[in-house]
Amino acid sequence: MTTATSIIYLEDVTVNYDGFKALHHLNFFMDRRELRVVIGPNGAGKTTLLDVVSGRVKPESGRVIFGHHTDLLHLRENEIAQLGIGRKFQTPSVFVNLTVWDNVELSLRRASKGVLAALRQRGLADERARIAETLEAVALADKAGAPAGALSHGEKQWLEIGMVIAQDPELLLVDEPVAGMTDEETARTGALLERIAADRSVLVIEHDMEFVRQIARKVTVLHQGAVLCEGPVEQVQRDPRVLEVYLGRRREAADAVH
Amino acid sequence: MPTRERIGVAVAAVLLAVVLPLLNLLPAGSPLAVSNFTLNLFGKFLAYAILALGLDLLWGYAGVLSLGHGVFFGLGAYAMGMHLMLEIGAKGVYQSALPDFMVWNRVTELPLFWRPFHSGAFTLLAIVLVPALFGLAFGHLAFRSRIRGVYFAIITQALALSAWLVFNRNEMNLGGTNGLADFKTIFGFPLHQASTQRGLYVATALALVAAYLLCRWITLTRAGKVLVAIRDSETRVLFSGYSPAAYKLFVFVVSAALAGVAGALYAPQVGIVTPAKIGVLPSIEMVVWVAAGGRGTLYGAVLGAVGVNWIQSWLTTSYPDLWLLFLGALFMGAVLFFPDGVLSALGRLGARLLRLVPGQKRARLDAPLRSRAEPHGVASLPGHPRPDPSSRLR
Repeated sequence: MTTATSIIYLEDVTVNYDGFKALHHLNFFMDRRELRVVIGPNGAGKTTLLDVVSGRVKPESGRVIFGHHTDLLHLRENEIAQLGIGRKFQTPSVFVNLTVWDNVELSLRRASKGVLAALRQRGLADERARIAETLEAVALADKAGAPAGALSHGEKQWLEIGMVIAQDPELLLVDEPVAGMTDEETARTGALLERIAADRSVLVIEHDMEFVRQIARKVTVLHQGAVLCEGPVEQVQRDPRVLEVYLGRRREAADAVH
Repeated sequence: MPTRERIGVAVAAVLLAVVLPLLNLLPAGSPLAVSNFTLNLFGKFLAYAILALGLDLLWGYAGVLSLGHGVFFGLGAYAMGMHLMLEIGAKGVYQSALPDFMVWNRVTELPLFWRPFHSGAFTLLAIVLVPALFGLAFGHLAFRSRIRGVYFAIITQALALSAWLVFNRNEMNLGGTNGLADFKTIFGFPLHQASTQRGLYVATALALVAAYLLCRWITLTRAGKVLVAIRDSETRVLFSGYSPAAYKLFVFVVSAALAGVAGALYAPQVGIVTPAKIGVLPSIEMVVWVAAGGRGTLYGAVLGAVGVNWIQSWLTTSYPDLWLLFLGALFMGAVLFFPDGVLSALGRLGARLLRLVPGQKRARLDAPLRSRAEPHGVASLPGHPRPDPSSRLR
């Protein structure tokens, strides 16, 4: 059963990597316009969850429904992206030999991203406006002509977020967006994600509890491939099961939760 | 296309397609005369350059290394060769309507697949379509299965080896080890006449210009940017809504068709087509042309194909023992010292020297696509897939 307002709905999803169950009968759903943060110890299945939603990993069993009734299980990654699910990777993944502008241009939402459509032309005025607007949003307008390879780590992360925004997705999947960022960059990234979440659904995976507290309204804790608990960040932090999971695994993670 | 490049292409086109053939018309004694031999040699080089362009589009832009383009070259060359064999008619050694090697092999009837090659129009189509369709089938299987990087290079090498074995077999009715030779005429023009060879040379030069413009046009469209993007991060391309497999297949087919055209222009100018042009070694040589000239630039591929082959023809006549050593050194040099090609390496050297001269402005470098973000050394091995940080094993 999908709820009327859910943007993504996973039911009884199991992912099996040669005997290791990365996801184990996972049930998970998110509302439209929700900003959700997923946390959990290493190996809890956080990235696998994104892999399943974005089509990179096909589960052994279960259902994955996008919006009202779009079954994602039989679609390839690029088809899922075209449906309106954007994904930002953990390490910046941009086209280093193309300019910042071209990076965004390639990402723009279009009716067709086939070869023939790409051979016919380019450079429409409204496209240019959308690219400029996106670059403005991620504060890279003055670097539009620079090769993406010349950007700093933080700028590359922002560019990739910009590229995903340019896809105009209904659902954004964001994997550890602030890893390796300075405090100031982290704060700005948090503000950016909150702006994005104003009219889209955003699913963020994060380790940095400081950052989680900054952006999260609702937090889902994954443990051993299933949902351990779910709720507002303060409540989750006090949950004894969560403490135990983190304490049992990593001292510093536990400190971070406290 | 930038104005500078437009002018460059126009000048090169006039030089190659007009000036050189005109110099060939000068009487043999005059100082500027280009001999028939030299013009013919250049015709061969320019045919190779057509292939190199396609290979550069595939490898230099999309980052897909093929070690099997000799096969597509061979398909085009054999298609043309078959037509030329049939044009000989009963003027062969055995006075039979069948090609000589068939008489020798006691074949009594022209095999079915040879028959359409009586038609010149069919042959011209086959030159493009046979390699293109073969590339489509092979590429479809490989790219759909997401075979990439080194693995793709290896299976294309296996393709080159198996094609070589197949073309060597007499049962294929393609002349076996000896291949196809002793052509007499092409579309009615006698091949031994200088004017016919000059015509073939001009056709090759024009085909090269057309191939260059085609490849440049592709690189300037959004599809061309997608190709570069695939080389940078195939995963990002996929998650941006594009199918990298479709784009790689497209560029693989284009490069296969260009290789076929190159082979077809090569055959009548050299006068013989053998399996030796198909195998593993010639396919690697083709990659060396592109690597030496500088990949990802298109003009580098042309200069590399002409330059390396020019040196080859000089070395193999003057110092026959040195050629393979030179080829090996060139390949290692391209991997270790000048991953952007000899020209770009010379440009860097020149810039460094200029900086030593006081008062000189720093020379502007035409930095080709690749080098910027990449460390030199083993990581920049040609065709070595750039580590994609976002990819993890499925």
